[in-house]
Amino acid sequence: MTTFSCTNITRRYKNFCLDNVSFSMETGYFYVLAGVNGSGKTTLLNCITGVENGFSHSSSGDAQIGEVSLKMSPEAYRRRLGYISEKCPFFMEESVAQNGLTYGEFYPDWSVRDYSSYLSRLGVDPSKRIYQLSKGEFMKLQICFSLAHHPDFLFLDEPLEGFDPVFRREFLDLLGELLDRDMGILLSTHITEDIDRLADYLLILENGRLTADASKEALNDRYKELTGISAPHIRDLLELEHTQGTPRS
Amino acid sequence: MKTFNYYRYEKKHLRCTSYYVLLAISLFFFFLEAAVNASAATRASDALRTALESENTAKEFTLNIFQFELFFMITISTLNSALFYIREQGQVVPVLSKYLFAPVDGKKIYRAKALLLLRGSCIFFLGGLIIYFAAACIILGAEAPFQQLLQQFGYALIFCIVAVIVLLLSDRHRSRHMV
Repeated sequence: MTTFSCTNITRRYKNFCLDNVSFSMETGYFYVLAGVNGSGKTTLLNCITGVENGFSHSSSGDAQIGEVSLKMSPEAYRRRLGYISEKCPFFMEESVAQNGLTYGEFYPDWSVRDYSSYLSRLGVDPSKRIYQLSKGEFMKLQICFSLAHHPDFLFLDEPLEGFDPVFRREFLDLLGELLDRDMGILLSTHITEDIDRLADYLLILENGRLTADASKEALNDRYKELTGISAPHIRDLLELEHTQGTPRS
Repeated sequence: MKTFNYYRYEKKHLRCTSYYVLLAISLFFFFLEAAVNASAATRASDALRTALESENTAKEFTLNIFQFELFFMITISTLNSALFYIREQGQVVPVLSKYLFAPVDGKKIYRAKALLLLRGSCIFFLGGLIIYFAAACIILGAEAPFQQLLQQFGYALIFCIVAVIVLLLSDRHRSRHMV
């Protein structure tokens, strides 16, 4: 089992501040990073994946996967995670296969066989150029690429938006398989309906601050305490945290 | 774990046929020009020697610095854009922005690209230098104005260094703004 932890992640912009966010995760569990639009989910993911420009050197806070620190050894740290985001800059005029080969060289564990088998499983044509892919296909490609380098943790930034309902189900089944293979998953979303059955832990961001970081059961107990009934969906827990604006549990 | 070799990676992925074509054209042009100049200098010197019936020679064999720099700029700019930029959907994008999500040290990859640019510049400069000196040696022999030629190549070298530094600084600036 591998542990991810981040401490005091802070990032300041002119009109927004990601304020001292700390939490930890373990492989084999599904974490949901929920929050309304503009709450800082993408900024947080960009910071802990080392994508945020200058984060690893100038911003405060640090993140670790096992013993590997983002600040101390950013390359080794980033090799151990997969990040799926619609902003991922692949080479647009090159094919899906070629992109895999180009970026795969940076990952010692990257397997071309796994890449090609995930591509065929998710129905992505390896000969297609990136600019020819739909939003859903682009997300699928990233998933295939990330899985082919066998990361310890997979971070997904709003991946469900580009998928049709049929693939959404397939995709969630695939995530379930990854959990069985002891991968840790952190998925950011504001559409929580589909992930009710998978989520183990819930992280709620409100205006740059982490207002909840607990297991789904713990949050559900609190919901029950306050309302007298069980929360049928994650959405209800999120709404409660949003209306209460309670401090971190 | 084995350290990733950025230089080898960049060299492997560099596709710049136009640089090699321009380099070959430039060096061939220098060869022709040097050969023609050296032959003309020999003929002029022989004519002068016959007319004056003396041992004096007046061998005029110089490097056209402006022309050399023009060829250098065209060839090296091509290599520079192949290394640092990519054309996608009609837009020119710094290649470094493509590595934002990869486990890559931006500084190391920039350094590897800079080294490849320097390597390309050295090949061009040394190729030109060798061709001029070889032509001078073969056609003019010991009477070739080596010192004058060296001085001119010295001036050309200063310009080449400045040009490469300016290119690298502008690449860094543009990449930083895009990444």
